[in-house]
Amino acid sequence: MHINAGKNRPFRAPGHVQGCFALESILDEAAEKLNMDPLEFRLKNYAELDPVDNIPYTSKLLKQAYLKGAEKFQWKDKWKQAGSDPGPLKRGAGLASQIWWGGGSPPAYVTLKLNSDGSIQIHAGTQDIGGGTYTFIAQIAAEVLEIPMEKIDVILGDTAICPYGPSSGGSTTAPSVSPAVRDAAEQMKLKLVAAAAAILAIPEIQIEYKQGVCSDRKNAEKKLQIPEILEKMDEKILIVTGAREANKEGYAINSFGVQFAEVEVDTLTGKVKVLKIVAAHDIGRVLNRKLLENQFHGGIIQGLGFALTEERIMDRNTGKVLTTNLHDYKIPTAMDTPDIDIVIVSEGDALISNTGVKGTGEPAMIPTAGAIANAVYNALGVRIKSLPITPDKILTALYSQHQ
Amino acid sequence: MKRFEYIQPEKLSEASLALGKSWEEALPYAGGTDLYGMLKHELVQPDKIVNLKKLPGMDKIEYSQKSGLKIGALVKISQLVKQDVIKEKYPVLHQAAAQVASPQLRNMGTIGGNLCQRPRCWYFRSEFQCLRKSGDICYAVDGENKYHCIIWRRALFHCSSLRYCSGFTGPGCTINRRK
Ligand SMILES: Cc1cc2nc3c(=O)[nH]c(=O)nc-3n(C[C@H](O)[C@H](O)[C@H](O)COP(=O)(O)OP(=O)(O)OC[C@H]3O[C@@H](n4cnc5c(N)ncnc54)[C@H](O)[C@@H]3O)c2cc1C
Ligand code: SF4
Repeated sequence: MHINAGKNRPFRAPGHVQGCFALESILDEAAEKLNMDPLEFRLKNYAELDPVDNIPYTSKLLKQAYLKGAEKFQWKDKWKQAGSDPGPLKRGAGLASQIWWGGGSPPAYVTLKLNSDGSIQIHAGTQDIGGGTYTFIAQIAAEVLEIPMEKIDVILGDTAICPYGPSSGGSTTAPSVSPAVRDAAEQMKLKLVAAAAAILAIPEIQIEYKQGVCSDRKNAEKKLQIPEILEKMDEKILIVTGAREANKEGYAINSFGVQFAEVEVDTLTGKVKVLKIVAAHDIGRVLNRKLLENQFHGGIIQGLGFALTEERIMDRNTGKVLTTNLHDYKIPTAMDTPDIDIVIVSEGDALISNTGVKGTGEPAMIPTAGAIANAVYNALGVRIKSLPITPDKILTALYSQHQ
Repeated sequence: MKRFEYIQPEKLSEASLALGKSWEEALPYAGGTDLYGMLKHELVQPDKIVNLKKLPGMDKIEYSQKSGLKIGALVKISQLVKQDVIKEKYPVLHQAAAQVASPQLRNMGTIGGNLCQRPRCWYFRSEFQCLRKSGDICYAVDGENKYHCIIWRRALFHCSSLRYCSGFTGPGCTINRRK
């Protein structure tokens, strides 16, 4: 559909944030009609198979996310009869769940170059838009090759010198690139072990690899450091190319999660304050807890802005957008940010890739607005059906309720 | 951006001379928190900018029982907040000043600049040639005005975006619709 409102622009989890708000609001309404706790309603309608294609998921731990998240949030104590607080400050609790793809896929390559001094350069034709690509690439190679991260240089963002990698979209960077890094590092390890075995004239299986040193399992005296191996091989560098393996056929790959929100609504001013968000997700393996938290905080704060303050206001007479600066288009600041708890219920998903990672960037944001909207309903007993939930909408809704 | 001459007078008389008679020609510059935005968005295009910061004696707050409170035009908003006498005798002013914008803006913004800042109205700040920009209509009246204060009084609109002004509505834009 074409409308005279300007073009769409990139946004985290396009379509899902909006769709999740609508769907999860409707689910809440359905639960209420049936006189059910919204959490219980969702657990009762839980899909073990992908309902569209009737195939299994590589993994789906949404149920665990519901249960662990609810416990952390204290859902049973916080969710109440809608609008039951006497006011004027009314509290409420709400939840919303999330699905996303984000399992990554081929093609994605990295080249890993080992220099004769034992330092490493990894080239990948992807980029780091803040998600921590530099860090996880170095981290995986460091873990496999047991080499300190300081010895590893990661070179990204230049397609002229780096092998093909995915664009930063769809939460696919880590799930596509991380397996290629692991593949490359494992290949390099095999190369070193094979070379050491040849040099020491013993079978490969007899070589023990530890922290960049290859030694004879039967005679620990016999060992070779990386510089020695390369020298004996008469090589200055070793290069390998790692690739992301294909996804398994017959499985749906999705990430899942649920977020719980607690809000306090001032019924005199219409202002909503978000007090707490608990995010419980199945996103495969966590590569780096700090980076993960960073993604979640960013996503949740962005979701909070989408729920409450960020509004593109268009002049009804001319069609021109009026909120063209960050003064009028309000994004949340530290003052608006609630207490956030992140619960990860997943380990690595072995059916996806050698790292078992699902993407996190977009899942972090998808359910936030829906959860906040449901919490606002729980506080007020009046449902606001459009975002952002600004004070004028709340006051109008409360006013018409009393008419 | 149009080229402009930058003048930094050290005496009030020099400043008056530099400012001349017309706002188009020369604009005073105090904290710059409003002026810079106006210049950047080409909402003003003066020939000269006259920095007031070196003018002596304009950054004082004086109070006496008899003559009341006198606030110099170059007094920073954050200075107002720190004054006990304002907190005690003029609590509304104190409260309002404490809530203006953000700490950084309160440290830069002056009282003179605050009172003389241009409307925060989103029509004014974008490409609309509204009444305040020598156009013939106020776009807010029949447009998006949920943050505006429009009071219909004898063909007079008092329009200012009140959300930035708690307590004192200095930078209002009072206009005659039948201009
Ligand atoms: C993000 C943001 C949020 C804000 N929020 C608020 C708010 O909540 N409440 C509020 O009241 N304001 C708010 N403001 C406005 C802010 O208070 C003003 O920008 C500030 O007070 C202006 O002071 P200044 O010294 O920086 O003025 P300048 O930017 O230096 O000048 C502003 C205007 O006044 C003129 N001028 C300056 N000094 C004099 C003088 N002595 N004599 C004659 N003319 C003079 C200049 O020529 C210019 O046109 C906000 C501004 C921003 C950018
Ligand atoms: S409110 Fe004032 S500044 Fe805004 S459009 Fe109307 S006349 Fe212009």
